[in-house]
Amino acid sequence: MLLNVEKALGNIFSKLDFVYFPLIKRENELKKYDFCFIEGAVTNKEQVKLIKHLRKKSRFVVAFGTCATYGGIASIQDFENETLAEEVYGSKISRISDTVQGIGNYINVDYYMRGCPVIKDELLKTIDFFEQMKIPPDYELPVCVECRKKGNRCLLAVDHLPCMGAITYGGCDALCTSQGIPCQGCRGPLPSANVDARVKVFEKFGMSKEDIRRRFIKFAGTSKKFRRILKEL
Amino acid sequence: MSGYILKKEDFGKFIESLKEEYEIFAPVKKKTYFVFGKVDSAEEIAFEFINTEYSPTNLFFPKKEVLFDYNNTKINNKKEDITRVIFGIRPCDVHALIIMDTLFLEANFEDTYYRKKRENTLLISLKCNSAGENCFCESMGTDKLERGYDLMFCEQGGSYVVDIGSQRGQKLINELFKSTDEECIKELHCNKKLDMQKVNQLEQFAEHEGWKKESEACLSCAACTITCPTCGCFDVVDVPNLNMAAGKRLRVNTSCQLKNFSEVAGGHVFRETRDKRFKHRIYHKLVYFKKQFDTFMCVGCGRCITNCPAGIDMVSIINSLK
Ligand code: SF4
Ligand code: SF4
Ligand code: SF4
Ligand code: SF4
Repeated sequence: MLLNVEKALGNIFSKLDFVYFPLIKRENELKKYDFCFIEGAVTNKEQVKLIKHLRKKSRFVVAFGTCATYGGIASIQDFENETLAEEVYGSKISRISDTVQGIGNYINVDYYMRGCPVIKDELLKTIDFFEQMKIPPDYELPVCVECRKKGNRCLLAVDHLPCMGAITYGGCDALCTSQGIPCQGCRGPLPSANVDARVKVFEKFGMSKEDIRRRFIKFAGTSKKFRRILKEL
Repeated sequence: MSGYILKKEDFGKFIESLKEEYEIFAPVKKKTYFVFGKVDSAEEIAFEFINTEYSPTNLFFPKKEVLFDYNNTKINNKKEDITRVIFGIRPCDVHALIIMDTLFLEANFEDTYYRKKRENTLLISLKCNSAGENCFCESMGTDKLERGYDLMFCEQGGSYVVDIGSQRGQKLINELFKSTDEECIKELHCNKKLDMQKVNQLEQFAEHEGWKKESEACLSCAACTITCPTCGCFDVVDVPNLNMAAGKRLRVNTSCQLKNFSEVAGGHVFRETRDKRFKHRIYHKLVYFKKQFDTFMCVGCGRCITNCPAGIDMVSIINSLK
């Protein structure tokens, strides 16, 4: 994703010195870092060790993307039973991952850059803040606000589609709903999200418990907000 | 003032005549719903709408507006010199503009961005043929319109009966219009009624337990304020470019339904709980604004009801207060 901001890339490279970036560099030194962007979920003990090490050496740690924040799509496995894994992989294969979690479960995180994928503008803004040795504020805004500002008709209120917009962190500029696709909740639940009310609305529109569960598990089932409601459902 | 009449078959020509001098905004169909958009011909204009999804007050107070951009020390103000005609604005939305005027023109300060747009825009209102299921303008008294429009169109048989509301409106009258004694006889009746007696007693119900109960269903999504034609709360944000030398300043619409709306330096939030925010919107519309400016901040357009994903209906909540 970082390499995807073509236009600003030159500018970024002139500001930041990439010392550890296995994806683009052959030699990666592990000394001390001002900023550490960690991408992907944590799935085994070695990874826990690595991120603890990175934490110690870094001034700021960013959870980069929904996987690093909540475990993301892969974390669905934590909510499924073993038989499903066996059906897919067979019983003989040895799995390298145990539980799929965001990095915040193991280390202190300074900034969560949510999204699947993360949004270019947010990335650039974060680099701006870091340049001044500041952490960007966590802006609590539901997707609905951005969706409404774009002049969309509400997929939930009018068409009764299972949109997660009202309880999900905005910042994506309502990417999905503007295309008529209900929000999947990829940026995770807002701290102020009224999850119980959301369940009631889904039930009112005729969604089954199983379908509602799936909605919550998809990206951020490991978040506190969703974990609680998943226990109740 | 004596009225005029415009035959429906001449409507297209009328729009053509406006085009010479103005940009024209009118209701257009977008997939399954109606919004105000720029039109080039009469064929693009939709007539079968009850009201538009979003209010045309957005054309004066956009949800997101660039105030100026800057480059090093140079500031470029946005030009606002296009002259526009809004055709098809419903009476309730004209009332909404009158309310916004109180806020942006007549209160303690004047908003130049708003004023310029107001001055550059003519309003041709279009009377409603029928009320929508969530309209309660009759209760608010906003179904009738005595001022605020330049022209008022009323569909009657094969023609429009046209009423002149201002000198600017008078100037739009050309040879296509014939003077007439015929009057618009349309009377609108809303099925939805807001109990105004209850509204006037709202202050007594300020601590009513019903607010907390009703707010439990609220998602705090802010749709009710963003689609409300009279909500004028905004935030000002700077968006610098990566080189920090240039950038722009924006004004973006915000909402009291969001938790950070009442957050102040140091992190204190005045309306921390959902029920406080929930109640605040309704009280601002029907109590606080009325106290301050002697008019309600609600025109009964029903958008907050239609657009609430949780099905929250302030009319039935207020009516059932005991
Ligand atoms: S479509 Fe979804 S994101 Fe958009 S306003 Fe409705 S609930 Fe919110
Ligand atoms: S639209 Fe409905 S759910 Fe959303 S904030 Fe308003 S009252 Fe609450
Ligand atoms: S409060 Fe609701 S009914 Fe009143 S003007 Fe606003 S959107 Fe319309
Ligand atoms: S209801 Fe809320 S968003 Fe609307 S004008 Fe009042 S304080 Fe502002």
